[in-house]
Amino acid sequence: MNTLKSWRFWVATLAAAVTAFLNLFVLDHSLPFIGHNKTFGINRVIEHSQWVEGAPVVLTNHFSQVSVNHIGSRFGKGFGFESELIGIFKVHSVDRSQNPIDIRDKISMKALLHYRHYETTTHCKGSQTKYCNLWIVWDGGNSAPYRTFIGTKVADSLLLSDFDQPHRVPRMVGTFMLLDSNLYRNLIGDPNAN
Amino acid sequence: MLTEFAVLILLALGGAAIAWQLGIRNLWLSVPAGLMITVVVRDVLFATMNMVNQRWIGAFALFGILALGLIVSAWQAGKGLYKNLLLGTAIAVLAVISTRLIGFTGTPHGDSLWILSFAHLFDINGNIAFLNGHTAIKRGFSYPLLLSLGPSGQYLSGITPFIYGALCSLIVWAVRSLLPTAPRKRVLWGAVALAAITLSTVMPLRAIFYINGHTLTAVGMLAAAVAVVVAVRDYHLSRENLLIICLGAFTASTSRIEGIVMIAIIVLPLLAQNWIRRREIMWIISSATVGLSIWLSTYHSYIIHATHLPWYVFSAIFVGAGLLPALKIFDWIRVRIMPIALYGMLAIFLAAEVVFHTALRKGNQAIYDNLLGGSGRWGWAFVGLVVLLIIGLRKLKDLSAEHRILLWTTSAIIVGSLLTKMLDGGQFGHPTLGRTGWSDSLNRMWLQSFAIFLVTALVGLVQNEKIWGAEVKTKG
Repeated sequence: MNTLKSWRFWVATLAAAVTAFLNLFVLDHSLPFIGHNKTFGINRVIEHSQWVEGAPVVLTNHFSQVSVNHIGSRFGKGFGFESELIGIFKVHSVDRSQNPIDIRDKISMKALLHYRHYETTTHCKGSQTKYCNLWIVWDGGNSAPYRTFIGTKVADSLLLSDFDQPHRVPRMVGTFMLLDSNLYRNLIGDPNAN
Repeated sequence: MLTEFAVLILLALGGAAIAWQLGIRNLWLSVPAGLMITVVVRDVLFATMNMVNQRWIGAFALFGILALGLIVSAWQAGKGLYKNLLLGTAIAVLAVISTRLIGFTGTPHGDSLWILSFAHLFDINGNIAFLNGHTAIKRGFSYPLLLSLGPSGQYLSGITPFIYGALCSLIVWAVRSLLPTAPRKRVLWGAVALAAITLSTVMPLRAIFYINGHTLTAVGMLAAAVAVVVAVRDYHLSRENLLIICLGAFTASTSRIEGIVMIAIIVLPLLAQNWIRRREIMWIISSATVGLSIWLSTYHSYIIHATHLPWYVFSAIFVGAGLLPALKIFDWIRVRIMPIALYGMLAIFLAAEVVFHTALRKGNQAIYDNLLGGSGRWGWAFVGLVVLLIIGLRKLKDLSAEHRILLWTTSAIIVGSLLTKMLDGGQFGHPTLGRTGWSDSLNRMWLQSFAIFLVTALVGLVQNEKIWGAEVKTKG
């Protein structure tokens, strides 16, 4: 038996070596995993991940009892608010019967940015993409543990998640907001006045 | 962190100890077998307690059973068990150190967050009726149940690398079982070549910490595949191998929804044997169908709802239908099932490619981009692997029984994975073969079968005498 004279042996060895070399030094270098993680609480992991489905989790992370209305349908004029997560993370009540309130002409973005505590993306029906931006806005000075959030449409702006992708030209999408009802009353007025 | 150390070490030791009690005493098989036993016990206990809305008891009962198994086995085995326990402890400790001390975590992905959400629901004894949807079924059962064994409010972070460690241990067992008399130098050379390809590729490394059920499915699939090959090679299904196949079938069928398809493919070479007992056929098939029934029933699945049947009627019909291949009247097709299944799947795939050529064009491009173009983070792994698989090939009549079956399994799994992916969208009228990017589900499904591909390539390389200069010797 003379291994060294077998071309098959050398082709196999070369194939493995070339593949490893290309994988390590020529092709993609993205990391297989991430280090320095200190978050193991599931609620916090989800909040830190800026997950497209994460809004119900973020709300229940911050308040004891949360009700949400004016969500609409993600396939219509509303945005996504995942029903399985509503159950799992115990959102108290969700009313999808009405579309988000359009507040673009009622208040400036600048006035709302001050109260913005979380921004992420959500599912929606768009012309260019199925994603929209979503802000979660409440008054941090108010310590009430029971909150009602109202779905609103606040602006058209560039899709947040596009900024994470190199070579992607950010797309213009709708921006929705879950606005604390107390803040809504203070800044805009009665939400039922529409 | 101490809770996590305690839980994972208990899972490792208790599992290996119960495996020992059941006759699975091989060192390298003990940890993966223990893991699969833990999966079975956890699933069954949780599903049972769910019926009386006392799901929280499931975790405590699991810990009690594992502890009892450990004590009894340690008492009976004496020194015979300590190597298995040491290996289990080592993998568990390394797993927890890697996540809790060093802080390694998986690549962020929406599916991982869904799975963590389910683990949270199990952890808080929440109402399982919330999981009555398509998304829930896609995310698996066994894996979130294992994740939910972590400290209160947290997930069991070490379980993911632990499962990976169990898979590595399983590969060692596979090599030793399939190549027991092969020259060590050949095995070492083949192993180094394949390790170089694997460890330089992003995806197989990503699986170490990536939160999803793929690696657990891979454990079930590889365990069953190797036990099947050994049984067919030896014309004998030992009690240990039957148990491994049943555990593998249960694990794969409950960790990913496509798992039952994959396991059905993997066990076919054994079910096609004319010497296998009908009782053994029933055990093997029932392990998969009972597992899936438990999962679907516990999740209040939309699949059962669509039939308008009570869960127990659906389960009885499903499990009963699975027993049909054991009937004598189906023997004529059972013994010919291997070529029928492979060529049948191939024909369906090709027909779908023709009929839905417009819809599948994007998917075909995505497969190319993911596996060869780098988008799937597989680098050149599949190019290298195919070269090694081809070099290991010989004429059909010269192939060993184990290599022939592994090649059949590899081919069938590839076609089966493509068909499963096609069906995922096809059930809603939109057949697809995925999209470009590492997170595409078909791209991730290769993680489940990659270990089988590696073992197939290694067996070919080691057994092909022409690689080792035998041809030169014959001519001389």
